[in-house]
Amino acid sequence: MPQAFRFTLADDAHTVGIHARRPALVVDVDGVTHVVRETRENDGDAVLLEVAGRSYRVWRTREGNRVHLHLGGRSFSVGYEDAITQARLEAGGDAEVRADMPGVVVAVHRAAGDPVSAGDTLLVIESMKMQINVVAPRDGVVETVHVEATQTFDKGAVLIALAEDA
Amino acid sequence: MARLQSNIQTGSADFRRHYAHNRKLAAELHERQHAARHVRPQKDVERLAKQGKMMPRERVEKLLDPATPFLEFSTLAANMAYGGEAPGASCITGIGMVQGREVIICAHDASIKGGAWYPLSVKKIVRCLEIAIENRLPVIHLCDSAGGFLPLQSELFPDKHMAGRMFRHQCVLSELGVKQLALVFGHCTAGGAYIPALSDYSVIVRGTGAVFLGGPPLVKAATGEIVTADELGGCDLHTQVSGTCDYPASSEDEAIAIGREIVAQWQRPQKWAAQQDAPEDPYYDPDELYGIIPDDIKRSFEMREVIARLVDGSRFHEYQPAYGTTLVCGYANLWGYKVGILANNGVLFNDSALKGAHFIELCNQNDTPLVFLQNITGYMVGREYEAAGISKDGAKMIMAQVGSHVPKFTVMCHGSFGAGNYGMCGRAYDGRLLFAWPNHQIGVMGGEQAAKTLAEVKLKQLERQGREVDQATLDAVYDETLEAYQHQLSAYYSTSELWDDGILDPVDTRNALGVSISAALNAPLGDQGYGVFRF
Repeated sequence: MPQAFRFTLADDAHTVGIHARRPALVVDVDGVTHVVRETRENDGDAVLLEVAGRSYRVWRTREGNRVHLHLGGRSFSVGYEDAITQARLEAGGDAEVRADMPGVVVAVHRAAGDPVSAGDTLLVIESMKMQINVVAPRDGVVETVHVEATQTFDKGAVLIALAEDA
Repeated sequence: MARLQSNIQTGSADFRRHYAHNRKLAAELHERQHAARHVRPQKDVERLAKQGKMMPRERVEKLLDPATPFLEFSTLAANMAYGGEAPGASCITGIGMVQGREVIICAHDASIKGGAWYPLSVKKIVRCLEIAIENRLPVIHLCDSAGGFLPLQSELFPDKHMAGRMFRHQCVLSELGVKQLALVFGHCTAGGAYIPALSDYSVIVRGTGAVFLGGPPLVKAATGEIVTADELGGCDLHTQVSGTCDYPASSEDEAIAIGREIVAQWQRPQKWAAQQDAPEDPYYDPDELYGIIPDDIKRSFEMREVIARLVDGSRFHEYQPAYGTTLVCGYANLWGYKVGILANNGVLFNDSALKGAHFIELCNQNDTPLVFLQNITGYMVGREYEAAGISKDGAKMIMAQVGSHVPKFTVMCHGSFGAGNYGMCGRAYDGRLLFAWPNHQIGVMGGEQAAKTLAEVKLKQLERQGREVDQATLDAVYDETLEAYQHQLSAYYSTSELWDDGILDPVDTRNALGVSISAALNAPLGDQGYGVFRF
């Protein structure tokens, strides 16, 4: 199976697979196959799409990860959902917060049982004269705080664990 | 490419404190820049007006294409030298657009001591010509200088990178086929006479412009000849008789108009085809940088938050996200240009240094320009790390970085201490341009560390001499060292000495890098080639 792409239209997610590009585009949208022929118009930015015997004149413009479309007198905004981000979300976030470097704990800001939001400072560590905020990688609840203030730790040590079920 | 997910909490106490602190630093920067650019003693302003001269910035503004960006270099050069009497080191340099072409502007500032060159003026002019050479950018010289500032001649004349280097660089530019135009508004005395003489084209203003090796007083002293400046080296002499200058102009306005038409004749450069996509604003507001940068030089911060506010769509493809995590490496686009970013998220370990070296090689293989974002306390120290070869791993990173043939750019985002500065393309490493933020500090080590180390050395010395050491002596050594150090660590000292190409308000960083990358594409890529890596 080739890579399927995820798009959102309004608030709905759609999965799109591409089966062929030539002579016509064969796409699979949410399990339904469509054959699309495209001819570029000479008189502007519009493209002419032919789907199941019907013609549609479409204007489109790209803005980052969104494509804005105008067809049949209506406007649509289609968002592309990044494949890596999608795959990560499906796999769930990190449960353990580890030390990137050896150091000493300067302050502990959260205790077991505390709810945290992504970006909350959990503790402050110091290494090579540099103080570093250790922040929550995702929303969740603190399960265990493995260190206390003034304690030294090695690189890779688990400092705080978040509960599995965020 | 996925958009970076920002974890900044704009409502937090830290964010607000940092925001207030950094906004204050930015306001102070703008105030100092305004003073360096525009505040001059009334008598000097009147003197120029009486001579019918424009202020140097008016000339630059008229010369540049309307409503185009001008990336000014080192506005605050010399701000902490010569008792502050040479704001901007008496010259204006930068990259601007003339007739749709990117050019280097080098304008003497006659509103300060007649445009005399202080040692740092020479350093600033030589640096802008170096930028012209490295990026193959045509140069427009706006000449109006009394020549070298005599009381300090020993610091501006004799050595390799001093005044002679300006003219040497002009010859190198010519050899490379890079055009130069001189607009002679005032005097080009002594060495300064070579600026129009070594340019491809020159325009001289009748009445005020003059070019001569020795001015009237020197001629009188040397030979007894009594002659006016205009007779000796004025517009008509040089455009009708000597052929030293090419075009006469009856006013500064006319000189600028002729200059613009000359530039319009120049062949447009063929830039090398860097990979480019449609540019896109960052998704996250660069204004939030003020709340991200800490108010304490000892505090680290998440560099991905900075990247998210510099690059197109805040999108970042991170390389080796789980290895050597204290150095963030990855690809992004800036103004549409593909760049490889190396950013410090803590001290450099063996793995971070190896990752950096490898990523630099990947970018070179891919012809991708490099952007270094520094906040570095150095490479890790200690027996364990020495045994693991931290010195040779750091050496590999430096070797890869120096061997790069792609353009390199550096932003000093916070601290730059110790050898980390080297690996991360500090000033000595020929980055095309290097900018600093107002919170930046630089030194071989942090102030407190240096003071502690020196106090320690002093203690050992005194003990060896068998003398009693009292705490007061140690404290005095500590305080003295710390004070001297803090002064020299500051971004304003650094930029005063031209250790960078200027201080940026953090929110302007993206545009400064965009102009820089675009300009860098004027120079063809060199050949790839590295020295020997110690494995």
